[in-house]
Amino acid sequence: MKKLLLSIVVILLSLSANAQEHKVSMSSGKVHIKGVNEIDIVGYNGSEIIISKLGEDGEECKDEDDDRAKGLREINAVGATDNTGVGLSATKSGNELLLEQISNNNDSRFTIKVPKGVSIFYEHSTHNGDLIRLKNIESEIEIDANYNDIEFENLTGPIALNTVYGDIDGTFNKVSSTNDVAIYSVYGYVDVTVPGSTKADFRLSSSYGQMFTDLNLDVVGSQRKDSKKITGSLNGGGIDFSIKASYDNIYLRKKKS
Amino acid sequence: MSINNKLIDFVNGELPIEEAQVISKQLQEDDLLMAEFEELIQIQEEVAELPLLEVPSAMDATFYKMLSEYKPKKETKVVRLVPNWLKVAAVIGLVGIGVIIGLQLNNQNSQIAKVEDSLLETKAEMASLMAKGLTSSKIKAINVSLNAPRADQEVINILVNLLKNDESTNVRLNALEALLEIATSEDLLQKEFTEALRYEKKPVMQISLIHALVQLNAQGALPLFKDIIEDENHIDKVKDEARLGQIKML
Repeated sequence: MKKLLLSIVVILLSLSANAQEHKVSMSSGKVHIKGVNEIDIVGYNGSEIIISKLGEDGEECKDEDDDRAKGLREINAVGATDNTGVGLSATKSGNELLLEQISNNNDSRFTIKVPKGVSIFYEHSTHNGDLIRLKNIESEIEIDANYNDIEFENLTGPIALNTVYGDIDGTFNKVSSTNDVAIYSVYGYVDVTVPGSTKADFRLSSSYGQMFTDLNLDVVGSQRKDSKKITGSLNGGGIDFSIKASYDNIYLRKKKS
Repeated sequence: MSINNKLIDFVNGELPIEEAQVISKQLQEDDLLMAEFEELIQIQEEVAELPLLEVPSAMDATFYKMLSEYKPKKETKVVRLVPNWLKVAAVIGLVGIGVIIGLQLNNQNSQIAKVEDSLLETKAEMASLMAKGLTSSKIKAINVSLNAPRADQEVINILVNLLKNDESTNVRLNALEALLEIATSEDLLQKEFTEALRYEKKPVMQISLIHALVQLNAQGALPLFKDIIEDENHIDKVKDEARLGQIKML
């Protein structure tokens, strides 16, 4: 038994020692994340942007992918250099930090921990775009993507998300009373869960999909049955909450307590 | 009195002696006046020779009976009472209509003032939000525009400007949706959306603009759709949407 516990401790220490991590001091302003294929963005109470690299399986990397690259810096055709040691370029300009993935062919999953006072802008345009996960973010978050799927949990800041091909799936533990939400996927579905107590004016729109909910929306106006838009308030209305899925379905769910 | 009237009175022997002497002298000197005098004498003689018509006694009696039954006072009362009542009613009616029109005009003016006040508040709130420069505040400003009490050109201009020039795709997307909601001029939308599509680089916006132009049946955008289909820089899905748009607008 003692041997087993010792082994676990040694493995954990080893993982910790090899974790690739880069920190940038920042407690306000904006972090602009560009072309990072697969990423977890997590809000936390701190004053540094913490960038770490995970392997393809989502576990922290124990070793460099390429032993031959040890001691070298990755570069790309636009002149960006891996100055973080994790495959990203970090450039700070004024109150904005730009993080760019050096190579499109890097399949690593990155985790960016963001202080709660820093707003987030993520953009990605190539077919290498993969899953984006957002969690515990209180500041403004904007996503502009083509191929990425988006998952989120516990966001309370202003939200504006769009993806062309990806699905969007998320849960609000609570919805802010002041920050608007705009979520749009062209070809993917949008599945959103909100607390039943949410005060919001919903605008749902799907040209070629269907719309489902278990919330008691007070639908406004005398729109036609086959209208592609639904406007309805929940609990008397409040923030503007728009969801659009042009070619797929919208699922608007009530959070189970 | 004219000479003709005096001549009639002369024939009837009704002129004073002095005037009769004057007429007599004129008759001797004026042949035309003499001819008239003779004609008058002849007419008078012919009238005197006409037989007198006797009124039948029955008709006479009926006439006097009708005369005795005639009650002018009663009829006068009826004739006078109705106009008086109508006059009072008309006056009351006119005053009432005046009051109602006045109240309605007042109400309309009050409503117009409220709409204008509300519009000013909307614009002020939009300006305040836009000034922050954040993506979220601009999207909030766009959402505020949806609550404007009427389609205002200044508000529409702000939305068009955001649609065509804002660096945030999400802001442009929301501006597009808002314009579709509140702008009333389809010509303006077709023109601005076509122009926005010409310079737009983001696929999500290109697809949304194509959808909007097809919804508006913007025939003027068809040449641009053709350019998009032939342009290798556009992704396949955008080209597919342009092709689909061409078919839908045929």
